[in-house]
Amino acid sequence: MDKDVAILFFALLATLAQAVVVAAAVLWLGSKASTRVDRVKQSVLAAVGPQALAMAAVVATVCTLGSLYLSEADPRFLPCRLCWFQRTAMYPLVVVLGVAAARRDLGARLTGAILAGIGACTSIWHLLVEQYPNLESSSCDPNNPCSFKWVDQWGYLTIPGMALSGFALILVLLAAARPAPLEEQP
Amino acid sequence: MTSPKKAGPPSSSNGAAIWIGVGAVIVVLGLVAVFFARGSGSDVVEGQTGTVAVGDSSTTMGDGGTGDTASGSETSASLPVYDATVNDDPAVGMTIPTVTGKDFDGNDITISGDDGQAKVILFVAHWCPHCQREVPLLKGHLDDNPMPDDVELLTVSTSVKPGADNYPPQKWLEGVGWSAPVLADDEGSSVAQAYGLSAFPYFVVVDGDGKVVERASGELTTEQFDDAVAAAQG
Repeated sequence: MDKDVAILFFALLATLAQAVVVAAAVLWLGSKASTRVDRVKQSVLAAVGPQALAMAAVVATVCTLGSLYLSEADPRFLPCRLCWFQRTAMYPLVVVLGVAAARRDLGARLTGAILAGIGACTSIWHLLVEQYPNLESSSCDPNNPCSFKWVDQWGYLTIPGMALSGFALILVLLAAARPAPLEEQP
Repeated sequence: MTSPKKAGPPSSSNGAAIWIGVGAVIVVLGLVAVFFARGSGSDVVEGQTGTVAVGDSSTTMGDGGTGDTASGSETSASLPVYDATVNDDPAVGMTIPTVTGKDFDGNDITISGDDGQAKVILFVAHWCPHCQREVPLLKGHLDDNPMPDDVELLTVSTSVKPGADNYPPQKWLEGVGWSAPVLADDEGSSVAQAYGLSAFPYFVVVDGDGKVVERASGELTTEQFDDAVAAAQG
């Protein structure tokens, strides 16, 4: 796959994730103020909730594959220290959420949310370091400083920004995960 | 002990529709990426890195040097890697390595310790956010406080990464209005290595005898830069 195509594809996926997260936040806030919006939220939850755990597993898998592609395939972007912290949070989510989705075990949501929360916090810190490099150091490591932007799509979307989008979407999906209606359960 | 709560199977008609929708959106995004990313690859600009020759200069080693003094003239050694955490920089007193290369326009540039000129050598990387802050800061400062006649300011553009932020470095430096001579390091960053660079931006302060007076890495304030220039004057 062409490097530029892959990066644009990941950026589009991240933007889609951001749109879903924003829509979820608007729906949640709106449901507090309006019964009509609350009904919409309930119907969305009824439709998405039973699939949300599996969707979160898919998001974690896509993020992991994207991360591995950027570092191991053609771009060969060297992961920095903060990137590795985010990977440490994202990669286990594939297994945790994948197994939970296969077993339909909603109890794994807490573990997933903790991992995704840690990853999201690290991504936010990484974004701040990119924006304000002096937060961590006054100089650049010639090999791979965390403030270096391997990708800068549309002037705002960098790799930690994509990671944050993934973590945030996983958190939203975990919050939305619901048991299926009784008649659909095995 | 409670049994795990059960989520629904993904085989319901509602669920199937959702998964088909998600898949369709991903396929569309993939097609959009293929269509719009075609031909958007970053081009390598000629002249941003060059061929450099390091060493091969008849210079006298300083206290930190390890060369053979019997011959009377020695090849200048590479400076040890700069460690900002060490108080006594072992490079102080060493003669700087002579390097020869070209600027972005192909003109010859030599940085040498045997030209009798005190100098401050600034190493920058176009993608480094600290360099992106330091260069305009110094540019503004030098507009109001030009370098003294007896100290030369030289720049080495190194660690060039095509496609990275601010590429090509020539465009970046010209955009900032940077007027000091710039030596384009080679792809292996030979000049940076010869001068012991460990972080960007990197300063090597050299006296009129061609010996290192001090080194520094990271962003300097204008006051610290003035101190470095004064140190070069001796």
